[in-house]
Amino acid sequence: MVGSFAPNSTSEVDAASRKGLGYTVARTSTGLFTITFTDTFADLVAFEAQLQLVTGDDKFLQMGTLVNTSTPVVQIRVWDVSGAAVADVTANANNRINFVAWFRNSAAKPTYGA
Amino acid sequence: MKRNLAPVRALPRELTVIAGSFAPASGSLPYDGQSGNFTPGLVVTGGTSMATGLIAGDTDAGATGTLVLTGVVGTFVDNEAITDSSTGAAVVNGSLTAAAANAPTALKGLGFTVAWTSAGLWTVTLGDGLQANEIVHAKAMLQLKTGADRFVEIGTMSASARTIEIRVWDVSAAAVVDLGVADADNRIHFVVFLRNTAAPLTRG
Repeated sequence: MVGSFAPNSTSEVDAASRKGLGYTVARTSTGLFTITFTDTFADLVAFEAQLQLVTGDDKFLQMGTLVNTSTPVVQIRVWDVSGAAVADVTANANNRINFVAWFRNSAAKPTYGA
Repeated sequence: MKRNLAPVRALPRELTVIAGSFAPASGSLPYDGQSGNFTPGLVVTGGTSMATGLIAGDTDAGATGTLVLTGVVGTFVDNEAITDSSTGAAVVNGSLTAAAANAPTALKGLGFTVAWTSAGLWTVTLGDGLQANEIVHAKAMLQLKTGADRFVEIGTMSASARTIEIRVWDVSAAAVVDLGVADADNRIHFVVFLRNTAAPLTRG
């Protein structure tokens, strides 16, 4: 599952800013966003997120708590280094949070090679 | 794309992706007054604190011993009774301490092993069965239950040895650091794209 959305400063994320399907996102608190996947999966194996900023800043993303149920819920926080705290991101078309979630969908063992 | 991860068939044939995550550190919980042996793989629960942890190992010296736990939720307290869902029963003798040198646990994903290399540094070794000889892309992400000024970096990679180092950098400490006592929400996630340069290109 891949997607991205635009933080909206201290306001709720504009649903129209979402790219990708199969998830919703909400601003939970300052600098903390909660992604809820709407499809069902056996397990979330790995998760990545990358902060996109129109202007460079000392911020990076961390994954927070994970509720790894059939419809997983993932928290992403924005950490501000100089502020030593989570921080919101100014609304801008080029300020986005991009993510990729890797799910396992069955107990079948993958095989390698062509 | 709801398929298992390796190989990802939507990718060109020469590419393989390995995605995984692991709990980078375990905690050691000393006990005494053991009246029944613990079973690795079961959850141990504190009778007072109701803290829980997955038993990754047990150094059993009879009445005393040390449990290696991962995915700890809550705080075990000294002198509380602890039990697992089988025969395990004892009393906490001290407190949970970080034991970073213990092997990472709670691996998710297939095709890799991981080992603690040194403080704040883990080495992921990809499986021998991979038909790949070039690491095209590697990315890692830190999951922390509680926010902190830490992030992960990719260190040395070796396609021939199939190894990828991942380190945790603490900004304020300006150093690599261990994560301390394990927690279900303290994990390192990674994705590696590998290329088999001998495979024919299938794009276009």
